[in-house]
Amino acid sequence: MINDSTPPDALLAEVSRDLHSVRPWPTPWRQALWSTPLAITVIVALPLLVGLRQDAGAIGPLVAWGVSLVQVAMGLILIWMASREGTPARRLPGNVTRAAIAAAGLMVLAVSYVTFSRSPTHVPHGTSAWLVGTICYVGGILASAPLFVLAAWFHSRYVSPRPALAGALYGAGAALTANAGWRLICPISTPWHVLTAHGGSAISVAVVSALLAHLVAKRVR
Amino acid sequence: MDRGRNLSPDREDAALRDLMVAYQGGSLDAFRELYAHLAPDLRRYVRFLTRASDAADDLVQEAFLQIHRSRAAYNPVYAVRPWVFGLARNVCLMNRRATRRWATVHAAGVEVPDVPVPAAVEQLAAADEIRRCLAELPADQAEALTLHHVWGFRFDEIAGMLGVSAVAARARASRGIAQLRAKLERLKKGPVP
Repeated sequence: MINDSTPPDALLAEVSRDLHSVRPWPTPWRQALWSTPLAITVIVALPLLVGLRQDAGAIGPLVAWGVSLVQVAMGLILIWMASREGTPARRLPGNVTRAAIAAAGLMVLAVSYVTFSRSPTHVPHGTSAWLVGTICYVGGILASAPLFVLAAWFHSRYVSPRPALAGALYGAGAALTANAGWRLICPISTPWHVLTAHGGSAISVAVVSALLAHLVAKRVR
Repeated sequence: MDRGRNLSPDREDAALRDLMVAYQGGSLDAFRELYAHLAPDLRRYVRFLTRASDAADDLVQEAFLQIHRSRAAYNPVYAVRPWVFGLARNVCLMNRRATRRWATVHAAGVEVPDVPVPAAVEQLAAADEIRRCLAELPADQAEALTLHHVWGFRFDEIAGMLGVSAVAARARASRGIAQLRAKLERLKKGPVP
């Protein structure tokens, strides 16, 4: 039995060994706020580097930029929720988390439908749909990388009882934000392409992120 | 800092926040004080969660190590007690896959933990009987009940620790206390013929 009020020597030695001064981490909403400039950079940089989709005029600025900004906000909310999940005593109720994930999925479906109904564009004849799909799939994953790395770095400091859920949340948040930029440069609005290539890349990032968070937590244990 | 229970919850929380900030600044004395102030209750809580006193001592040390590793993740806007208890709970969950174990242990009725008796029922029976009845409650109800009635956490704090809404935390605790009262009443009346 250990003395109730005095730390054991081994614990004190461990604490003394690494007792440098640390700066308190920002609260979850501040972390989401810190991610905002990077998220905005992603959706602005992609059209600047590659060029805005050719049918941008047809779909209009509201469906192009407005919807992308709403999607970015949803992505940041998921990153905020991941931070809450990892912060002791700040966890959100499970049904709120499930509702947010469902809302993110529905948002992708709704955005695809609205964009296609405004401007139904298909893969040009003579171009391989698989090739275009692969470009969008890989591009979406690469575009997610900066925000994903930032969110994973935030999360690496935490002890989450459900690391896979936290990982899935910040992975999905990063992917949703990247997808908001990618849809501004991809000229194809066919649901088949959008849901498999764009949606597939978002799901892949979320799944890999969940697996990574789970494995890291297991190793730390 | 006064280690007794003389301080009001608000003043105690303010003093603990000051200690955490000093600890983040590199003060070993602040860590010692935090330990002295938090370890006794934390040990009871971990014992309650694990139902195994041998493992509980190790887990308390592991929780304090984790507090040390994650001390930068503490932000002074958080109340210290819920943060520390929440982190200890996470450590128990991670290390022991505790949820399933608690359920098994509850079903098996293994050693009854030495947790303080909730004031709301202490008049109804002897402490051991109350603890035994407490151990028979569903794990989620027993945890919400003890966190509120024994350790004095508010329902919004319990909600954040358990990952449920404040309404659900309140409902669990109140269902738990109702069941506990009913069990104790039955016990008073004696075995049913």
